[in-house]
Amino acid sequence: MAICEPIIEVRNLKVNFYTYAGIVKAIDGVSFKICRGETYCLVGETGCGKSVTARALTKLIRPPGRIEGGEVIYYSDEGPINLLELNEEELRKIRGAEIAYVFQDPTSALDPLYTVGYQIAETMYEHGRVSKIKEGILRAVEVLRNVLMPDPEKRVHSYPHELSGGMRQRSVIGIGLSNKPKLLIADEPTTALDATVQAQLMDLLMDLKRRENLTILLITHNLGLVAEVCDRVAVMYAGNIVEEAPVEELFRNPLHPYTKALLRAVPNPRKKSVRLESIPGTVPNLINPPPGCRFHPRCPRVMDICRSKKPPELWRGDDHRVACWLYE
Amino acid sequence: MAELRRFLVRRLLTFIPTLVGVTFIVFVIAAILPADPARVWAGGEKASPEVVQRLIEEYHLNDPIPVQYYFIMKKLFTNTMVSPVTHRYIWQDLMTFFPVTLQLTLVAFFFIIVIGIPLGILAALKRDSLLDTIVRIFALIGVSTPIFWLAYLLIYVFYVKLHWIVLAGTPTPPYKITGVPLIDSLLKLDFQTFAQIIKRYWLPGFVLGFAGIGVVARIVRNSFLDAYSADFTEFAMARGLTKLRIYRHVLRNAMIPVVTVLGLMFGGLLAGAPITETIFGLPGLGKYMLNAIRLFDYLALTGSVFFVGLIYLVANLIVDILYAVIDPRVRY
Amino acid sequence: MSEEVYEKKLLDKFSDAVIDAFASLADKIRPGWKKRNKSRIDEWKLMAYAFNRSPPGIIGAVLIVSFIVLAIVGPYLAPFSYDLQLTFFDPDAKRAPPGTVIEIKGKLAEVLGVKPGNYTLILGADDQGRDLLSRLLYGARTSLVIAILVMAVGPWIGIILGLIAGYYGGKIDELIMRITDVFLAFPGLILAIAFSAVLPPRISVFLDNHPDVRDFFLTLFALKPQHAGPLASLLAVVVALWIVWWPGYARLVRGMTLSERENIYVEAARALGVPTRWILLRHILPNILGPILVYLTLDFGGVILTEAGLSFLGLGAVPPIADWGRIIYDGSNYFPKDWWTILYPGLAIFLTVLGFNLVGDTLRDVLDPKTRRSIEFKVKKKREG
Repeated sequence: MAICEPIIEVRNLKVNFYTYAGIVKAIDGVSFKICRGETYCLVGETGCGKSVTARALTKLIRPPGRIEGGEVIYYSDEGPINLLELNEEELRKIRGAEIAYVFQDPTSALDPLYTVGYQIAETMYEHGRVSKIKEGILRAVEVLRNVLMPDPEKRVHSYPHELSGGMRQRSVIGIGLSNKPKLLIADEPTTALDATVQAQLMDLLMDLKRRENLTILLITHNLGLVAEVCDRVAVMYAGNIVEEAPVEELFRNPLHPYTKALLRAVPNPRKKSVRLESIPGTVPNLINPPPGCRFHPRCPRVMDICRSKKPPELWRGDDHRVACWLYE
Repeated sequence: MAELRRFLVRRLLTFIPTLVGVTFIVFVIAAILPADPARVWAGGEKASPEVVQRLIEEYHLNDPIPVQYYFIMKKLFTNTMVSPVTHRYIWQDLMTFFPVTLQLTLVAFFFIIVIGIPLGILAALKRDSLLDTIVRIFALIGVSTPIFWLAYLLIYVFYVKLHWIVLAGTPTPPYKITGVPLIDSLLKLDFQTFAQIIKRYWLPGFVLGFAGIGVVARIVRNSFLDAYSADFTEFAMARGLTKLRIYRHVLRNAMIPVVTVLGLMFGGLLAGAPITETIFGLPGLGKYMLNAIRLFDYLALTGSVFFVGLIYLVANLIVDILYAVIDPRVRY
Repeated sequence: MSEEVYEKKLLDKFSDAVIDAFASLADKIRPGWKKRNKSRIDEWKLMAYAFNRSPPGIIGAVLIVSFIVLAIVGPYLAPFSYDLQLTFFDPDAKRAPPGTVIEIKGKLAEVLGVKPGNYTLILGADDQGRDLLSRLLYGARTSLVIAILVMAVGPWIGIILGLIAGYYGGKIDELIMRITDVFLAFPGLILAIAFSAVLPPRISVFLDNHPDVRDFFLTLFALKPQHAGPLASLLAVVVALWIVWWPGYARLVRGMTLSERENIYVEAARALGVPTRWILLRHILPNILGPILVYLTLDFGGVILTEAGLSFLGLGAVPPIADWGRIIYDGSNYFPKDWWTILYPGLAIFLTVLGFNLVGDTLRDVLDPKTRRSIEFKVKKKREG
């Protein structure tokens, strides 16, 4: 594998949510690095903190959530910047221009009162790519054509409710790509869509990645998708990354008991597997997370030390890291 | 735009059955008339039988119900209904009294919009702060205050103590464009008349709008917060839009429920006007209705109820059209 | 839920006691009720705790309770009858400002059954020399009785029509909603004015033909038999407000029934052949009662306010009936000099209506699961380990 030229690097990120029920430690010291040109995946169950991590990268955390610590280094053309230290206006210039997002549910992500053309146009206008909204709407036709929207000249004047789910998500992707970003953060981009449309959209994303020289951070709970499109994978559990490895390595040689359980819970078409296994226990409450390793109450190979001390990050080979006392 | 036209046609079609229903209610009011209205109109006990008989015939009081209904509706729709008491055309009377009520309502509406909406936005921006609580309490006080009581309290302050207002006369400019002096004086840029009208109307308008200010502020606050916490707002942030533009998206979405409430409120203000008009001595529709009741002029009463119903229907129609303009989803 | 410990205040114990008493009563009427509704009772208690922690709610409840108590016992507490003209005893009583002392003596006092002595007119008197305090106390009765009569019928017409429209859908729904639309096409107050104006003669005839109904209402309003005439106008307001007050509920309940109808439990009940009436009243209504309760509370104040407004316009209460709105109307002839005839009755209306609005607003919060959860967490004691 080529040497990693990083585009973004997250160090020890911490995010808390201050709710009436108590402080939810949603992200508890997450670190990872994404290399230029790769597709990096964050996988995990619902509520494990993948989306929060993705949004925290550009400080898109709204009250009652708060970023409590860590660094997010973005390697821009002008050199590395810590995004968490930027002010709102500086961040705004990066969001949507250098780092763009695709949200899970295109129906609620688009403002129902404006045409998709307008929403693409204003995204370009606000980043100075066009001097007038009108010009932006003309350019939006190209943007929509780029995401393979059928009949883009007409669709540019359509309101979100006039489009199908797949076309809406194409528009959202179009908005994301309208300013030619370097990094695209796709947060469960196909979950809200029909199965047939899902495949089409993933193909589109991968195709666009190649054409536009993108780096993609893909957030998903779908391991099948991970196997298909990702270069490297990080597995998240209860606000921590428990394991990170290139995709082949992870599927061939999973180390963390959680990863192993997760892979066993996925049907494997090649094996004539008798039954799917589920992971015993439930996702922990993050207000009072289990001390030590957060997975220990559900772990089949739990040891004494797991109950009291948080496991360190251990490297197994150059590119495989795991946070588990078993490998100490 | 084609959808918008189709929507309008459909909306106008539902307008017709409602209008027919409205005429029924108006007729019911006329039909519960006291036992012998003709005698009352003719002057009570000492009325001459001939006059009573003539009135009964003229107003079809002894005819079968369908005939009575036909008679009343025909007269109301063709503008030929004459009051048996004042012997004037009821529709004409309504047209002279209505501008006063409309002006009053417009001034009240102005206060509601100019105070209520910004207050609601501020409360939403400073959510759970002292200001937010004050707005909430203000809204509760607003809907709890008897309008006539408030009127006297404010008259005491502004008229008796401060002499800030005029309580007599109804300024009418010599020219006539729409027939509503407030609007006409603005169109003619006649600020002197305009100032006179405002001086006469600002307090009654404020009193009339008082309850609505807090209500609108609360609704603006809640729908603003709803829109602000929506996914599309978060996506707008993720797109790197400027604060100003994000607020524009939020505000436009928040305005949808507000427009509905404001529309209903406009009708409510028209309805609340009788009390305000009575206190401030403004010769408007409400005053006309109450006069009609006092004179046992039930046909004038019926006519004015019909008129107000019509206005209210039209106001609702306008709201629905506005709604369709703001929200493209409604057009379908 | 049951193992969780809550920090209880005095008020919580009181509300617990009330709810338990109600549950026991229901259990007596239908044995086994308590057991079947265990979770509902716990839910109610939690709502009560949440309510008890809201100062506006408490203030509102105090205002409402004072109003109801005064309306019930007021006519007995009042120093004078609502129509007694004190000018018979003392000419100073005419338009007497608050604090005026008048002396009652002589044969007339005996005849009218007033105890002789010196009286301080705490709130003053009106232009007929009637004691304002007494009239306010009687006026509370008038307001309460009218509000109860209106709320006991008007909204329920709407609720039942809304349930039917929402549940059956189709043509029935279309018909009911068209009728509702027609009534909503008028501003409420205008329709109420018109009906209060044309109804009294008809009601008067009805009352003359049904003396027992008339006597019942006279007692309810604490009126003297000779004032049966004005009673017709009061009841006309009640009927007028029924007409005005149902359409809003029909629309509201229809919408809620529509979404409730989609729930599995309704489908299951229907599949099991449960009679429709039973489904509507036993299953759907209890589930949508929360929001309805909020509106009923708010509208209780709304009715009082509207009734006072109608009386102020000279409709409804006719002299000498004591009615807050009417007192202000009569007093307005002497404004600003006789400020007390406007200030005090207005204050009474304001505080009463405010009470209902405060409680309604708090109920809305309490019934909203999101806010209630947050309050529950505050109430919950931190348990060890």
